[in-house]
Amino acid sequence: MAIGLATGLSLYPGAELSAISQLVRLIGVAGAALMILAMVAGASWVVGWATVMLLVAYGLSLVTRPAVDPGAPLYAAALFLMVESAYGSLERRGRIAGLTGLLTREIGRLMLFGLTALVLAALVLALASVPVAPGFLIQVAAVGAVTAVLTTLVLLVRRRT
Amino acid sequence: MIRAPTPRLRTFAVLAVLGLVGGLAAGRPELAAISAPFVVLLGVGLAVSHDLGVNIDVRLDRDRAIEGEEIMLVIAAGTDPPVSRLDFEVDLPNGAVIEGAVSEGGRAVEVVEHMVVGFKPGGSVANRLTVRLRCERWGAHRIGFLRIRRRDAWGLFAYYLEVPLDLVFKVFPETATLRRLLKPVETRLGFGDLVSRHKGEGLEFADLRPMVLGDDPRQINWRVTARSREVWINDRHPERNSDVVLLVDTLSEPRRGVEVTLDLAVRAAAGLAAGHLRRNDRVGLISFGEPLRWLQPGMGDVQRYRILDALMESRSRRQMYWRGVSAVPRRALPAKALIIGLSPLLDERAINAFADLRGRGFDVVVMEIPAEQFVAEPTTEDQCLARRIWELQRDATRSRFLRHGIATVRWNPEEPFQRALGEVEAFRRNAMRAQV
Repeated sequence: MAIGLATGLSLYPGAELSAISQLVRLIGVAGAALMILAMVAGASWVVGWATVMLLVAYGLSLVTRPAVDPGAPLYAAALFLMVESAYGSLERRGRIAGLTGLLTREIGRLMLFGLTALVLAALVLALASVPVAPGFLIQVAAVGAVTAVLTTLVLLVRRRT
Repeated sequence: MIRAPTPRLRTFAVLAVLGLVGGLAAGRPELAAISAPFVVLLGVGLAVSHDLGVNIDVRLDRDRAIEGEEIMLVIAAGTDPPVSRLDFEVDLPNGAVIEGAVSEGGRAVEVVEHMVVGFKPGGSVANRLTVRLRCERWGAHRIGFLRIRRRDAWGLFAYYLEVPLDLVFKVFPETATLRRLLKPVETRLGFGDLVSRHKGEGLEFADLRPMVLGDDPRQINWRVTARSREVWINDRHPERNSDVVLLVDTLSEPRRGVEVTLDLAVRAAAGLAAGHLRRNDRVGLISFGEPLRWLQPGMGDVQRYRILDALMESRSRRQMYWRGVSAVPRRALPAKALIIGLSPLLDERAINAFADLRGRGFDVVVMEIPAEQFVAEPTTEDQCLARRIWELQRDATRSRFLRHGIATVRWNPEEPFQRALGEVEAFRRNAMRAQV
């Protein structure tokens, strides 16, 4: 599942571009290849690199796209599902492979997570599309919000590790 | 328990930062939207994660078993706060496997190789998990540690704890009951089940002789006395015991897969010890290897367990210093003892030791563990030639033993040990007849 999603995600950003499509496609394909490698070799640390490359490919594809991409929530859900299914698959390997009912529970969990990711991404896009007059205050608020979110995460990580 | 972030947490953190900062820098809400699920899951997962305290008590229901039996590893575990499941990894020794596991309510808990997964521990009151360990191979086994693993519900943190245990249990070899045992040439003065060749007070009739002063009148043979003009006395063979010393050669250990000649020797030695002790013989043990170990002859169940304990430690360890059989004290090798050697007859030191003991007047029997079965079949012409030379050398060793009066019998492990003992007994009977 992770490999299929990675292949799809690698092809999606380069589909509508012409100028930097080669670069985007190259990064996307490299990300998909890394994901295949991670799944075949059972290397969980490669999953992170593959995901980052796919995100970078998508980010680059947005450079020449003038309007907001309506498929972004779907892309977000697919990326989230890909990461979850990749880690889930790697964790199931080996020692607890024979656990009864684990696969069923895992599929249910993935469905729930995918749906939640879709809703969250759509919500963020919906909030972003609210017409607000552009200005310095808005910029400051956005930077402040991002900083607040990241600071909260950093604090939580530092406290828990 | 030790808590460590998983690769998932790192990936989520990187994606969250990239998405938010990239979205802000490029002014693209799509990137922020893509990072939103990761940010939310990361935040929720971090907020609800907590330290996990675990109280655990691990013990074995017994520390001795016989091959094929099961012993129980009882794990009582509770966590603070209570969690839904814990996984245990047991540091199993080679001679034991996990057969199954049940929790306190009798619910089966899944076992994957040496792991017990999905056990629901208790809270302040610990829940008990019983893991059934099947003892597959004799030996002194040790469970070194128990590793507890857990992953939180969000998959962001892994908890683990290694509990040092050092639980030792001994698995005794399964032994066949021997109906007939070897009879030594000489017996001791102690009471036993063996009919002595000497005359004295006993049950078995030996001979008739004229009565002399001091004889017990209860031994008068009235029938013979009535037919003659003098009083005749029944002579009898007394029931005596004997000294038996088992000499297990651990100097060489040819193996094929998991099978080792020493396994066969130890099983045979355990069976012989049990049989002779049942017959009220005094049984001793010499583990003829590096180092040389011995156990003075003794009687009873205590001696049986001493012998089994000593056999557990029979291993071949290379040492630079070799003292030979002369290092064994006289008390461990009593005069007139029957020495039963269990050896693959591969090491020259063991072969010389048997000849040396025979030369010192001991009654020596060698049960040969066939090493040929543990050696790979020759494939090339040179190997075939080497194999033939080696087999000729072994035949020469057997002939040498025969000349010295050492009964040597090859024990085929696929046949009962009793049959090999029968062959030895037949050989010894014929040898005695030849001497007469």
